[in-house]
Amino acid sequence: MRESTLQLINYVMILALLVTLVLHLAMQAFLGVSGYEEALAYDTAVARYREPLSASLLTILLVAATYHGVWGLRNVLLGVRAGPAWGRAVTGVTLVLGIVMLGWGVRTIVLAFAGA
Amino acid sequence: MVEGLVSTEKARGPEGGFVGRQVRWALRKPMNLEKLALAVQRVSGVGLLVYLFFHLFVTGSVTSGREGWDGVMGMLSNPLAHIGEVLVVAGATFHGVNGVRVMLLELTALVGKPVRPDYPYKVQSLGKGQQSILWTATIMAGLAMIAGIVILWGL
Amino acid sequence: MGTAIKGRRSGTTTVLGEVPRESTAPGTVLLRVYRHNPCAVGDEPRMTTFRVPVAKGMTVLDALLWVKENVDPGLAFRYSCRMGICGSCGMLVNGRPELGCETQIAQLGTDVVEVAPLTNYPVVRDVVTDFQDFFGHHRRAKPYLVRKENGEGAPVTRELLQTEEQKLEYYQFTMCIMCGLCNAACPIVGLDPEFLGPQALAQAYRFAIDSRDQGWRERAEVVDSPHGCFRCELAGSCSAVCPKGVDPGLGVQLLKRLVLARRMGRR
Repeated sequence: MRESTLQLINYVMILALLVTLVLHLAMQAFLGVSGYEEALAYDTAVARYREPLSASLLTILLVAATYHGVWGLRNVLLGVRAGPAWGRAVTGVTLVLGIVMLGWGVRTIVLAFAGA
Repeated sequence: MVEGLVSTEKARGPEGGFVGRQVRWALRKPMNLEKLALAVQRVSGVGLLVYLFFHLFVTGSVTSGREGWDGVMGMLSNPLAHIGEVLVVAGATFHGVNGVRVMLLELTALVGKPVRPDYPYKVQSLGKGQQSILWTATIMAGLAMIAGIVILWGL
Repeated sequence: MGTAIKGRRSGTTTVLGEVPRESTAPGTVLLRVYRHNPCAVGDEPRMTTFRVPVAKGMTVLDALLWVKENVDPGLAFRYSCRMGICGSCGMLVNGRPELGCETQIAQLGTDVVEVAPLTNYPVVRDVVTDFQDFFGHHRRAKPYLVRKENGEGAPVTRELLQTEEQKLEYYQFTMCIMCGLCNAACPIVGLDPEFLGPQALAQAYRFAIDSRDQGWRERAEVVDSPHGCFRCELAGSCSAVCPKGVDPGLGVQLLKRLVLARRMGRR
């Protein structure tokens, strides 16, 4: 895939990340939560995942944050060493890392949403 | 004092290794604000990715039931974790606002436009507009840090 | 001068050793110069200090020439025009990439002037660096007008007209004298040897935006790559050190926009 295509996707992810992150932090108000301690309570956490809108928001946030984070890591690692082999290795490793993070995060959302 | 050769001493070589290379450029001249912002952006970016990685596993404990969740939350209720949370909030704020600045420079007219280069040269891409966004990012990160300290330590 | 050894790159400028105990006499300056001959067996990098008489308007290049003519003929450095147009005398002056011929001793405001080879380039000898990679990146950006109408390489047989506005879109970037200061200042060039660098990317933009050029597709293939324009992270150091007001950082950002427009089918 062309670098410009990856960068365009990155721009979209950045915008999605900015919006969903602000909403994620402000979500406490939507759930009628007051205070830091209550926000970390088990019931509040479960309520976040069981609410469809909230779960959708978390999914988008997960995808956007993972893509953007892994993209940035790839940029940093490409500067560690020269050579196409290193470039391919970096792209491969960061892709795997991204898939692992996405997979684990989606698993959490799906299981919590389904009430497991 | 005679003009001419004064002395010769050994020149220190570059600090070697991976870390040395990653750090050296940030300490060299020119020390323009934008380069320092890049250094902080990189450090905060990698830090946030590491945080995200652990955050996913911490929040994953919600599937282990109330006991599992409370256990993990109990483990994270310590001053060291709170310091980490404050750093995350400050880092995320700076990274986000500075990132918006970078996007605006890449995609909009904020970066300037080509002009006839008459001396004294005005460097368009290092203009005051984008520097003001950078200062805003720094100030917001500071405020976020203060807010984090207030919330976490109930000051 | 022998073949450049692509060995250790110059990175010594941030730590150049102790300032000698001898103080400067009035009307003189202490000139500390990095010395190293990678071709000579056992030659270690060192800083040699000279006391140089200062005249009004004297530049760093003048000081180096005084040393070469009066003290040490073996001192190696590049220069040519002495007036900031050839780009030969790029060097680190007190840690900052500068043209030796355009940096006056008096404007530095110090009694000790440290001269070292440009960072991010292999050292050939003393202050002379190897520009082969730099020129290689420049060539990859196809720094010439490409016209397809008469076939590759055939001469253009008619005048190619252009408005003043069209000219101003790229004119700033034609001021580049290929001194290499921007690549020396760029942190990404230091980290990633395959990165094209601000000079090549700015020149790629110069030709891409030129209304007379028809080679955008070929150039886009080069700059839209893992070590192309998107590796630029806006450190801005390139524009901060450019002695000709080219603002290569601006060129790179504008190039990114062109590439993205092409990806979205708008160019």
